[in-house]
Amino acid sequence: MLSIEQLERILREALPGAEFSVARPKQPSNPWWLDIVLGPQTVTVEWRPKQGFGISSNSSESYGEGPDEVVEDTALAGARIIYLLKTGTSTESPRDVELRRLREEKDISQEELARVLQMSQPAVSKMERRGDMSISTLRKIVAALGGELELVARFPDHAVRILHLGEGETT
Amino acid sequence: MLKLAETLTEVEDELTSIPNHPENWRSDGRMYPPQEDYRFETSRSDVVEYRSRKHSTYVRSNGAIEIRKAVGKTVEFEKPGADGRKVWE
Repeated sequence: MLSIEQLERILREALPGAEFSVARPKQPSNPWWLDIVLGPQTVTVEWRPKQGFGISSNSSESYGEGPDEVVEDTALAGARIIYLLKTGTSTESPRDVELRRLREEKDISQEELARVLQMSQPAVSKMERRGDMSISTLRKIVAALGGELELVARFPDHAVRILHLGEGETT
Repeated sequence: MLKLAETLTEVEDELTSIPNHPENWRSDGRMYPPQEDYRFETSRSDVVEYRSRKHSTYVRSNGAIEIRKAVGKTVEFEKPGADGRKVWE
């Protein structure tokens, strides 16, 4: 079963009152579209094989825009979409935020984060003030806060996502 | 289709300072014309659909264009083709 079909199954089970519309491309490698409507709230999912799910709520009706959020993991995408539809929350494009501010927005204390990361609270405090850290450490912090890290390299004529970096042991 | 893409690109070049990078997947705030891999067949052989985040754009072989909201299918824009006929006429 394809990831988009798994996602649809998850959502249909969790949102029995929602309406679903799926657009399947003729070429399997092209994007799929899944529109979910629950009351006044709409979430549109663009799924690209091997690239993940692009998620947008009805926050913007502008023509030809890309998705607000991109999530690779199917379960994480499902949880995000269910949350958006049930709470009426809007998706938003990524904004600039410092790690400390991000942690505070998630209502997680330094002590709690330290426990998850198996380090001391002072180490977390020091880490939040640092201007540099390993990608694997950053990936763990983001995961501990409930998200996933995505690395994108932009060039004048294209952009690529860099895979499998920082997924090993902390260095 | 090429004309539509050119027009949208020119409008955005005029109105925004956001660079033209259609290969960016995530929204960068810029409006992009329909891309070729977003093309879907329709019930009519002379009409193709280009899906985007919130819209479906239908283009007929006579050059007619119709843009509908993806959910609800409300028509937001339509333009007849060279022979005066609309997309579904």
